Amino acid sequence: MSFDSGTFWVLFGLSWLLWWRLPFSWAKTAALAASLIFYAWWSPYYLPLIIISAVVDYAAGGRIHAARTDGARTRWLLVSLCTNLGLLGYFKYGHFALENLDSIAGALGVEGVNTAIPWVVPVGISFYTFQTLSYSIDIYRGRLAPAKSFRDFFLFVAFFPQLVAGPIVRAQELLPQFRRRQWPSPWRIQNGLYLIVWGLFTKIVVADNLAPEIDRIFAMIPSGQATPAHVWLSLIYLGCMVFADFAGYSCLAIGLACLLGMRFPRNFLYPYISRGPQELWVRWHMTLSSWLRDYVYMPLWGKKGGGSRQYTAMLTTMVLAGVWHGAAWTFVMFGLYHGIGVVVNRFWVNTFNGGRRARGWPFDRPKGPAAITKRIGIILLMNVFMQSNWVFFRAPDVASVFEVWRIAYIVPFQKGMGWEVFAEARHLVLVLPIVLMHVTQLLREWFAWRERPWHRVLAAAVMIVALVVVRRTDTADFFYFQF
Amino acid sequence: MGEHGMEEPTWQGMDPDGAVARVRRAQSWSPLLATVGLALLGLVVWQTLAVSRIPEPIMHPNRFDGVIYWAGPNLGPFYAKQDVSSAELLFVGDSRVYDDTDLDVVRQAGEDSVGLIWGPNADLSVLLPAIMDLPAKRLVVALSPSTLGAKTNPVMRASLVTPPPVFEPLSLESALGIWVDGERERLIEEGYSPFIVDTHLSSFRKVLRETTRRSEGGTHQLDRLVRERLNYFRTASIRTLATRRWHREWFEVPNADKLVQACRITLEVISEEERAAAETIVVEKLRELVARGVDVRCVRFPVSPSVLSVEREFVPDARLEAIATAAGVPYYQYQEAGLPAGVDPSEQPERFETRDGSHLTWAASRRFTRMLVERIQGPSTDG
Repeated sequence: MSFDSGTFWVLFGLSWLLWWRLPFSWAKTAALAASLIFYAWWSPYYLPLIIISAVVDYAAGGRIHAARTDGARTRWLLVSLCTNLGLLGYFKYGHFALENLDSIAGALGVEGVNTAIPWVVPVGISFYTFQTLSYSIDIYRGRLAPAKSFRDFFLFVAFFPQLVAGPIVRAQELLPQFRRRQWPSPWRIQNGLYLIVWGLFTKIVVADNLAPEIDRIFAMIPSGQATPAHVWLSLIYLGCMVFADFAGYSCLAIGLACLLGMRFPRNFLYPYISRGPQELWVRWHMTLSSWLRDYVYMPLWGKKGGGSRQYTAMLTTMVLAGVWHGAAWTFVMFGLYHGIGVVVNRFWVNTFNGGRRARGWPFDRPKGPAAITKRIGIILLMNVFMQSNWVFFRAPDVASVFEVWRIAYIVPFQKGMGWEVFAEARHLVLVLPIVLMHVTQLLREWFAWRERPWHRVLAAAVMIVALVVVRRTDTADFFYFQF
Repeated sequence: MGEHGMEEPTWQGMDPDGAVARVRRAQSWSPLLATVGLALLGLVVWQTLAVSRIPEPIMHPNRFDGVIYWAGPNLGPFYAKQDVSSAELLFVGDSRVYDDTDLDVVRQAGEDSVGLIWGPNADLSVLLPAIMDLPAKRLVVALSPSTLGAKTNPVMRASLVTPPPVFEPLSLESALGIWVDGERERLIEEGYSPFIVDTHLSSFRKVLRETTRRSEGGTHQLDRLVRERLNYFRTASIRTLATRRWHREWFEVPNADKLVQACRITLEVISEEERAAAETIVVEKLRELVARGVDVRCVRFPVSPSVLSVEREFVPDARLEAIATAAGVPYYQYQEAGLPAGVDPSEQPERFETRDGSHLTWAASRRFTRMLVERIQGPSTDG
């Protein structure tokens, strides 16, 4: 069941009514039931996984809190880590591991392994695993008290607005909101509706319409029909599609939560206006990057000065971020690509800025026309880095990634760009809303441009009309469900 | 126009004069009402303008579009539009039937029970035997060189030499992925270009996924039911909603010479023996249908002059006429009615504009359907 399906809205309408009509305790039970139906809609066979994950973490959390010795606390933490990472590893990375074993066996000339597996990657497993892990770790670190009610904890794990594609909401943020119902103000309801329209617009109008064009261009690459202009167009489309799809989903989730009187953390802050790889990860999938920062990067680095230890921690974290996205070598490369980018970025700051960022970074304002021009130049350059990386999400293997880069970067000097393709690229009109959104954010950050209520009214009306008129009838699944 | 710009001010300068805070305190519903009002106004304006000016008129949605229809084991897939199992008037043929026949126009002409079965380069010698048992009383058959013995997507046929396995819902995605990888390798080894193989496998994968899910029943059936009910509500209530063809044509620049090469490739791979064998089957099945009392009409749809000249290289017009004559059915020939590339449609209003040389634009298809229906509703002696 996807947020853009009619079935979902029937379920949500029912859940919304029950949430506000029933006594709060019953309302939470109804929301939990709705969440489980929502999850089971894809495949009821995987329902036990989320139940196991919730039961183990609830029990482990309580035991960690109650344990009197460090040894006991650590043992229970290990139970939680092994269960969650074990399920994730088995179901998400099992096929990848078998494939590589098979390749190694083939290279050694011994009998290979059977790579056919009787399961699929359960929807949302990467998201809810990270949520439950943060719960156990936070209790272990003494930053969180265990949930008193299993139902509340299970609802935190399975709460349907963010269950399958984030944002990754931590227990500290969500559990307190289950203590009492917060009646939303008219503003909050309208804010929720606006976010839902925004999310549906970016998904249905932008992402769904760009997807077939990207498919078409990528299908031209193996036979050598794609010119560099084709490839650059497809990379721009892909960058917009991934952003529109994923930010759209996050926004829908936040909007739905708003209608239920809840608050979810922000997940995107217009990443394509970043000035460097580090800033990109401050603005892109913020709940994942802050999760990795708190639970992987900081423990690895330990704040023990700059230099090689910090760079190693950065590289490791980013490779893990890549692997989190999917079980394929292309995702390992994606992580490595960003890891190198982040390390070079940090090295630059350490070497030339004495390890210090500008005051207010990343929201510091450029002063004067020269600084603005320079900043725009850096953003455009950074976009070349960013848009080039999306090919990892689309290419079937690493060799295809290099082929795309060869056409994008080398062929223009050999055979020219083939600019005429741009003249007929009508899909560029779908890129405009994404550009406009980023430009308005720049105006906000650099010039304190103020968004007035009527701006939203106008934007929402335009998006609703576009949703009715420009939607495709055959929609695609949300891109990030696969992670 | 922020993602959620007013939600949580996180940096200085986002709400410098407290405007956001004031809006949040104001317990007013006026922004919501204004948005709904503006959106409705926008839709009314769109409806008014779009009907006459914005590239093509807005189309009535297809309610039950895209039902997969297998002509036999591993023969297809063909696609059904509307409920073909009860339709009284049935259109059959290739993508030209799908694109050039607007079923809304047909319904407006008083034909309430109408359906359509089509497939890309559908071979009539495969399709006609498969529809013999349908209850249609009237049949419109698209006749063209590419519907006689065409290798309904040669890669598809090569792919179906070994039938795809029966996929289990539980392991659908991984099993499908493994099957597609193996199939890709095999087809490329057989000499098909990676482009054609990837294009075929991409769509075939969707077909197999959808078929498996539908056969599974359960939630997917419920999803389908809800979708159909919602679509029905939309079609019954608001006429502006489905815009598929308008939408596709807006994103594609019309080019009447676009499919010339593709047409040549399709026709080149049909051998003379295959074509002759297909003709024999088609004549036989058409006669059988006529003998059963079905009112059959054959139609040759408009194509651009460049596409027509390629078709004539392989199959002269007289050969198609001979099929209709041998079967004893009326044959309506519109192959010369397509507009050449680079000609403004308003200069030759009696001809029909194609978007790629082989398929009509939406406006043209509505005009053409209106004309065709008039002839179909006329006496069968009008051949």
